Amino acid sequence: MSVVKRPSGKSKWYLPGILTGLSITIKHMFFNLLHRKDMFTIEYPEERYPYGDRFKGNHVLTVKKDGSLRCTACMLCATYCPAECISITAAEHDDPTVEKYPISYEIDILRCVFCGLCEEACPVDAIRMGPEHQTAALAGSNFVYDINRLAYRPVLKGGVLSRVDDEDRHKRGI
Amino acid sequence: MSWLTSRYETIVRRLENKHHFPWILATGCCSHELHNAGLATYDWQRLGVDDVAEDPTQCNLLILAGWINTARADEIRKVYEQMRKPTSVIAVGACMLSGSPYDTFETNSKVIRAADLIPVDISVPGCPPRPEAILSAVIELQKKLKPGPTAVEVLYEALKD
Repeated sequence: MSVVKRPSGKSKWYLPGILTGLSITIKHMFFNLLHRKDMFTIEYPEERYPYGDRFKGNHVLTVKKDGSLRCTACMLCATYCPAECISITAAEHDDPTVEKYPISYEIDILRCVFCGLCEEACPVDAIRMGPEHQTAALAGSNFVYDINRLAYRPVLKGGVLSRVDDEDRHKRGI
Repeated sequence: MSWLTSRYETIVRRLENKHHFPWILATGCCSHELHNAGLATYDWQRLGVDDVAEDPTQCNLLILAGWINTARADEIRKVYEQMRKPTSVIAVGACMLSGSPYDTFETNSKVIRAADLIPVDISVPGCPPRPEAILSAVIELQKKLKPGPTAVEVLYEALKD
């Protein structure tokens, strides 16, 4: 069964449709001019979208109280990483209570898929997914983030303190 | 009048560098973020990215998102050759930049990096990157294309001290 719709007066003449569309546009324009604070658009470089605490952004390496890296170079994150983007070089520490520490911790950000599995795998809260969104850059510039970029970039203001304490761990015999 | 014609190239380049006509070739989850960057919340027309072009020959900005397989590689190369020169290319996402979500698993799919096909100007890491990251890529591109400081900026620098 085919239903043929005869053109009504409203659709036959294009003017009512155009005017309805224009009235909506002009209504929104005047609303935005008069209520600047209720405007929907985020003016990006000046304004930022308020992300939640669980947002998975650029990685952050946490630090101890004395400012050194919390990471113990156990390689769990590098093993667990589905994109194989983390590469760690471990070294022996002078302090006998510290087993080992990373002399280089590099994340190839072009390979990273921001899944957050490194954060889940870490037993000592040494790596977290940070609150910042990903950063674009010129192709061919450095996209392999090193310790300086991950732990001590200026946004973090000297590093984020880890929740896991060394003395507490040694008391429990871990 | 001769002043104007002699500086025609500079004036056109200066206007052109703040006004992009994108040709978007997007698949996968990055395409959703690209749509989001163009919609009302993150309005990329504020930065001069216009959406009205209907043909690759009218465009000067190629935005690649998602993955490239062997069938798509030919299409992308053809589109890039047709486009208006100077063409700038923004590559979005981990598949496009390194192919990492596919080449680490044992699959039959073959993913080609964008940099192996055509010259890429700006890379946006992330899987998928947030719309802000795409907007910041446009800002980076405008910084790269800028031929030099304008007369107003030179005067401002001189009078600042």
